[in-house]
Amino acid sequence: MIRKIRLLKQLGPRPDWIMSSRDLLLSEIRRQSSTPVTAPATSSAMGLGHVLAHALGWVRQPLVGFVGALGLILATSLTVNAAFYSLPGNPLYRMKLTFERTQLAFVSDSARKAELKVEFAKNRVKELAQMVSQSGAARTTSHKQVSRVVGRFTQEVSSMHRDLQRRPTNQRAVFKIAVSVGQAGSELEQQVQAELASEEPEVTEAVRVALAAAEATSDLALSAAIVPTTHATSSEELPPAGEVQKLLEEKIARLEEKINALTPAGDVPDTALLELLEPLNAAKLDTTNGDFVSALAKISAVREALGAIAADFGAGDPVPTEPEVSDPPDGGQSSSDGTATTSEAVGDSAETSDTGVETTNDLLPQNS
Amino acid sequence: MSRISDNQILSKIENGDVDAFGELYSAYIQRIYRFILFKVQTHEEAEDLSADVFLRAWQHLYHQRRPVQHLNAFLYQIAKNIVIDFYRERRNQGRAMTDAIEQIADRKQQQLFRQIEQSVELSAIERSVRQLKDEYKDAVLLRYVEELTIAEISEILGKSRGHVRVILFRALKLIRDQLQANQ
Repeated sequence: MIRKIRLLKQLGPRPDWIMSSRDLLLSEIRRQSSTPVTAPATSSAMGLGHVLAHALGWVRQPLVGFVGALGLILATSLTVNAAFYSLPGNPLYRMKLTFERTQLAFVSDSARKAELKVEFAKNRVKELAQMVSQSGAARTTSHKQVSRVVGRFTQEVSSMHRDLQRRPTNQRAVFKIAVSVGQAGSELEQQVQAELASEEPEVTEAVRVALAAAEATSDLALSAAIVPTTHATSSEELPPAGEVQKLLEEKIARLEEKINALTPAGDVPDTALLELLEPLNAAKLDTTNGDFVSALAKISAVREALGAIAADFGAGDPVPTEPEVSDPPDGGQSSSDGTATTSEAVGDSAETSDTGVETTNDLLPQNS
Repeated sequence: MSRISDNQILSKIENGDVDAFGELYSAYIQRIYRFILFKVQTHEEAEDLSADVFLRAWQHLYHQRRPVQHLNAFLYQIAKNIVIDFYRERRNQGRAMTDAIEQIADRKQQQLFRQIEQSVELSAIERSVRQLKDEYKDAVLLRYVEELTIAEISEILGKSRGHVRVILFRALKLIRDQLQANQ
């Protein structure tokens, strides 16, 4: 019987995964271990140098890392490009998604995880752009595939909640995430206009959920970015006030558009709309006065109320109060394991969560 | 890896030698993956969590400079904790567990399983091992698949050597009974 148990040694990870994950791991470790770019003496220049180095490293990471690691596996530049630009239905598409997931597995910093997820969400938008640009007989993707890609977009933006709720320390980076997620949602809506015109219920519903998730995640990121924390010891670590104001004004404008879109629907009472416009006007005033936290709270409340009204009267797009967190790309199903042990803290990426998940400092075997 | 080479690699890693860490990864990834595979539902999850084990290991060794005497125990302990955290997060998201191998969602992973299975025998033994409770499962895998010593297993599981022997005895009996019942 022990011989039979030893047969289990045949189980192992895929060789191509071992190679690609090793390369990703080592590149991530090198990135974490590298020192920031030094710059001339002025504090603003040093800050800029550090942000630039970080941004360059981050921008290079997904594409160059992907190309490099995949090149080792597939050994032809043509195949590498094919995978990177592949669409649903292409055999290489799954590898593309697996690569994205593997990248996430090697990142421990919450803000960086969220940044990667924004990047992947934007990849879904690019895929949609390619898919819907095909027309007539040239089209190789179905409405079902479109709704699946939109669904993956929703998963990416919804799964950021866990990362954002861990209060990332780099609030400027989190603000950029807030902006990027909002933009990604807008781009998604533009790309699928043709699909929405076809009124395929599956696509329409998927897009509705995706846009709501993008807005909710953007709000959450903005909240994390503008609330001063113990980590932000100076105003330089918070996002610029002008940019925050601009983003809030854009959010208010989008909500006003949605409210106005409800007006032609004769069922919706004027009083319901007035109840939405009032706090929205107050949010405008708060934004002008620099009370961003209060403005964002009002915007979120209006969005919630708008969702309820739209659901009641069947008009416009109801907005969920909490985004649906479906299967995140870096996870799966849970178990009723019930084991009561704990996990270790790992330096600055200690896994505590504001959602109340308690992971305590588990001690590795204390070796003397 | 031998004890001496483990110590040499550890010393290099503490000095920031990334290539040495790559060697460690290559030496241990299959074992860590197998260890985790029997605790999760899909190859996909096992891959993701295995990758996380090594990232944490680097953070402990290089950034936190935690002293490590037994590399085996160190890595398996991280693996255990990562799986615990994984299920804790899933539980908090209100997800339910599906336990049978047949319920693996990823069809392509199922195909991979079938390719790996050279006989019905492998499938049956895998099912039997999966159905064991955690400490029995860990002990059996570490002893008979990864071929660790009783001393190493006792350190990983945090139990005495005598207790590990008892666990192994009981686990083998359960597996034998299960296999006989299925015949």
